[in-house]
This record gives sequence, C-alpha cells and structure tokens, in this order.
Amino acid sequence: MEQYLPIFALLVLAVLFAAISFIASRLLSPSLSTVEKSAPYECGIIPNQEPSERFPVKFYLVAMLFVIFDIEIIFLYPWAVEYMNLGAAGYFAILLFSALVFESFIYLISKGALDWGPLQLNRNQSAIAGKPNAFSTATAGVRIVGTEGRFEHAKEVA
Amino acid sequence: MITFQTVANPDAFEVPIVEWGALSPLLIMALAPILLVTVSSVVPSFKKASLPTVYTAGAALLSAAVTATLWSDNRLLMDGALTIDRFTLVGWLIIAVGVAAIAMLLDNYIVKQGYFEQIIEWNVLLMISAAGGMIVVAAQDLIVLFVGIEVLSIATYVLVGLHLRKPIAQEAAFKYFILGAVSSGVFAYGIALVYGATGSTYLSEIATSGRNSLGLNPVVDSSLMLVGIALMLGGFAFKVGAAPFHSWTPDVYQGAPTPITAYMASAVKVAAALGFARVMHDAFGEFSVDWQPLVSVLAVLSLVAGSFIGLAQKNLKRILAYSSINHVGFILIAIYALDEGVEALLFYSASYAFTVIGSFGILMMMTQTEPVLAESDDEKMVMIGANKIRNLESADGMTLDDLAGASKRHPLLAGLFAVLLFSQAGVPFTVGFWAKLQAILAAVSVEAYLLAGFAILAAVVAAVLYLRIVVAMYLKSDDSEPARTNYSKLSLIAVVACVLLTVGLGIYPEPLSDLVTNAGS
Repeated sequence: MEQYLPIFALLVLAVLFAAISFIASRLLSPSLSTVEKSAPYECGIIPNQEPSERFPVKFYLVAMLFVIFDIEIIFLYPWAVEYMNLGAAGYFAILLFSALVFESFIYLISKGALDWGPLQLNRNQSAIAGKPNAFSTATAGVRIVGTEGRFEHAKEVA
Repeated sequence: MITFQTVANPDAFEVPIVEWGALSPLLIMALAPILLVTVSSVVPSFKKASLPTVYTAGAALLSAAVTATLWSDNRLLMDGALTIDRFTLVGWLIIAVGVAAIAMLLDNYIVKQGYFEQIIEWNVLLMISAAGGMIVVAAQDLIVLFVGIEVLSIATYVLVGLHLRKPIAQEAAFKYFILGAVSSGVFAYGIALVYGATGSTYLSEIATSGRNSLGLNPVVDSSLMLVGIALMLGGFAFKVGAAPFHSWTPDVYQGAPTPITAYMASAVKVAAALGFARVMHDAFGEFSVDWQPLVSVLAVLSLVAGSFIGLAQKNLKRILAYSSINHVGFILIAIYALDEGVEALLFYSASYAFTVIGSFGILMMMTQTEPVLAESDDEKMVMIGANKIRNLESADGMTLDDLAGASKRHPLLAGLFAVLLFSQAGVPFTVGFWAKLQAILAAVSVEAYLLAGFAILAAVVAAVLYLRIVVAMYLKSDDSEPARTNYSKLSLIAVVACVLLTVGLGIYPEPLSDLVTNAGS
C-alpha cells in the first residue's frame, strides 16, 4: 500500500487547505456589514422590487454552445501535445472529431441559438405551412405557455 | 504543407487496422443520424411528415441487411476492441430491425402529440442510442463497452423526457437519469477493480491473466476481482431491469412516451442482456462458480417479482413493465446456463423483442382515437385543444377497466394484442412458447432443476397476468361502437409484422433457431 501514501497525503492536504481557508477567513476578515453594502447596486437607485428569477431559455442555448467548444478544446489540447506521435491517424481522427463538433454547431444555429429578438419568432412561424395554431407552443412562442388548451383561453383566442 | 513523421519512433502510436466492411452496420447506424440532423438543419423542408420516419426505418433496415451479408464472419476488429461473430450479428440484427419498427410506431405519434417541430430529434436520438447498443453487443473491451452503454443510455434518458408537456415523462426521465448515472458509476468502479486485479480491460486477457503486473494471481488472490465482478453484475442488473434492481422500471415505462417504452423494453434491454452475457462468459468464465449463484438469485427474484407484483397492478403500462421484468428472469436463466444457454439467450431475446414492440405499439395505437367532433367552428377549436391534452395522458393512465369493450371498439387491434399476449404467456403455436421452453431446457441441461422449477411456476403465474388483459378486452363487454382509427399505416404495418413473426415462428421456429445455432463458439 506504500505507493498510495502520496495520494493519501494529497487528500489530507486538500481537506486541510479548504478547512483552514474557511476558518481563517471567518476569523481574520473584519465584519463591517451595513444595509447599503449588502443591497444590490443599481446605479444609486434604491431597488424597490426583487430581481426576476426567470430568464429567457435562449441563454441555455448559448451555454450549450460554450460547452460544445469547451469539449472540443479539452480533446484538442492532449492531441496537440502528442501530435508528433499520433501521426496521420491522429490527425484524421481529430479532423473527424472536429467535424462532428461543428455539426452540432450547425444544428444549434438552425435551432436559432444565435437569432435574438423578434427575428426568431418570425422565422419559426414562416417555416410552418398554413396558419399558426393557437394551441401549439412550438409555433406560438412563449406567451401562451400554461394556458394551452384551457377552455377560457381558447375561447379568447377564437 | 503538412508533413508527418515517418522516422521509426518508439513512442509512435500504432494505428489499428479499421475493418470498414465488417463495421459497416454499426457505422450506418451511427452516421445516419448525423446526416439526418445536418441535412434537416440546412434544408428545413426535409422536415415533412413521415419522411424522417421512412429515412430512419430505411437506414435501420439497411444496417440489418448489411449485418445479414456478414453472416459467416468471425473475427476481432479494431485491434481487438470489438468482435464480430454470430452472437454480435444476431444482436445487431435484433437492434436494427427493432429500431425500424420503433421508427414506424413513432410515425404520426409525434405529430399527434404536437411535436412536429421535434420530429428530427426523436428519430436522431433513437438511431444514436441504437448505435450505442450495437457497440455494447460487439464490445470485447471493458472501456469500449462502457462507452457503448453510455451512448445507449444517455440518448434514452433524453428520449424518455422528450414529451415536454407531460409531467410524468419528465419525472420518469429524471428518475431514469439519476438511477442510471449511479448504476453507470457502480459499473465503472467494477471495471476499475477488475483492471486492478488483472491489468487488462480486454475480455480475453482478463480471462487468461494467470498473473498480473502487480504479481498477484487473480484466481488465488481473488478478493479484488470478486468485488469487481459483483459491482459490474449490479450495473448490468440495473440496465436490464432485473429484480432487485428493477424498481425504476415500472415508473419509467409508464411515464415514457409509449413507442419509447417499446424501444427501452426491446432493443435497450436486449443490448444490455447480450453485453452482460458476453462479459460474464468471456471475461469471468473462470469465476463462474462465484457469479452463477448471484445470477440465479437475480433470475428467481425477477421471475417472482415480475409475475406476482405484476398481478397487483391495474395500469396497463405498469403490467407490461412487470411482465418485462419477468422476461428478464428467463434471459438470466439462459445467461446462468453458460455455453448451454447461449442459443436460448439469443432465441429468447429475438422473440421477446418483437413481441414486446408489438404489445406496446398496440397500446399506443388503441389510445390514438379521433377527437370528438364539435358543432361550431369556435367549439371545434376548443375541442381539438382539449382533446390534445387528454390524448397526452391516455396511454399512460389506461387501466384494465378502460379496456372493457376494446374488442368492439378496436376489433383488429384487440385481436393482434391477444396474439402477442398469448406469446408472452408462452402459449404453444406462438414463438414465446419455444423461447420459454429453450430457456428452461438450458437450465435443465446444466442441472439447475430448482431454477427450471421456478421458471415454470413463474410462467404459470405470469400467464394469469396476460390472460387478465385478454379477459378485460373480450369478456367485460360494454356497448361500445367501433371507434374510428386514428393511427398511421406505418405503425399498423410494424405491429402486423410483429404478430406475423410471432405466429409464423411459433408454428415453424426453424429459421430463428438456425439463426442462433453455433453462436456460442
């Protein structure tokens, strides 16, 4: 078991470092909290309502875009380090991998990840033949989520 | 200009030979979804009703046809990472044909449920998942196997949750994801321990590693190895849904969109079961004395839990979910029987797959009825909207009582359903009878008489399970009128094909048993 000793030591050190940092910052930092300090900064205006907790779902698409390219970097970096040894096979493998990553980028763009604002709504509606159905959330946008299919709402629309 | 190093380099990566021809069924299944998603992204007009369905079913059938041309192949591929033999090919065939049938069931279902916009995603994820399943069946290396299981599972998690407006589907997807992730973790831990004990992840090297790099003998100092085997066994038992790792099955099968339930119960389960059998036989054959008791306990528990708990259920999808747990018991018996059981395993997997696809398919088609017609135009709008919402839940909430009069409302579907249920019960002249017989004979041939006895008893109890459904359809009649059919022709073709196979192979099982012979060698 001797060869595992460094790993164990590292584990202990990591735990100790985290614990000591927490405790030290509690003990050492001056605590001078005021109401003004803990309030969110809004250009000097006193906030009179809670910030909204919902935010548009398109941010998730941007986050997905980031993750896609992040993953590409994760695999490109070790390939770059071992580039000479991997040779032609490695080169074409990473080319294929990049093509697959790029493919998901095409898919996201077609889903409208980079179209912000009213443009996306127009495009989606024009893609569908005929009159948009008031009952399908996929075509009518975010506005009617939750009221779909309800009697009163449907009457209102009709 | 790019120049590659050609000087002999001791560190140079040795490029494995890629056998494109032998890999082509897998490559078709893996590249077809990428092509589909690219084409439909660039050309939005590709998103026409039934066109993605025809594409998916066509790609899957092409993959199956190419599989059939490789029939006499038996060799290792990709530097020993994958293997192609009769066992692999039968598995690939089941998965590819299953995907074609599921795609045909999905046709129109997606549109009816209001997901026309996502029609590409459903088909793409289905094919990607199937490609993962094909890797699992062919894997000869534990790391490759793990990658295959993850590709298979992750796409399935998404498919379960793709019904975005059905809360029960969201719940099912989340449950499946959390439990699936834990079981993958357990499985990976098992791989790590086995690698630690033997110094290899190749199944053949694990089997022959008399002495590993640490100087330990895995057969003598076997504690590490045994813990690894036990963990991998647990991971596999979760993936195939064997009791006591079955508790997710009824919830997820009930919540998932019904065609996806059919996919999980057929192709996913078969892929996991075949991967399970290969690892246990090829890598841990030396340790069969140690793992066989565990597998037999899993088998007995699955048989008992599937049939007895199933009897207490009212909901049809849950009943079929418990019946699939019962089937897993028979599959595990075939795995228990080692070489004697390989043919029974493949026979059971193949016959079970299309029987269960047909059963869930009919359940889906029965609940896709015409919306009630309204008087005025205004009211029509309201009715269509409301009916859409009602339709969303109808297959999931369908109980035995709702089936009363089904034989009058859907005479054709009820008849086909009855045949498939008889096959699941193991009635003679259906393929289910031969499948159950082969599994029990395999248990007898390795002198596991107790196991065979349990299987027979459980089959009797499970028969009651299926007969209750038939009784509900035919004997509890009410004054129902024939309902207007509202399902796609392609779905009907898929289901009728399943029933024809069930009856045809039940009367004349030679083609299927010829297919699976000599798969063990």
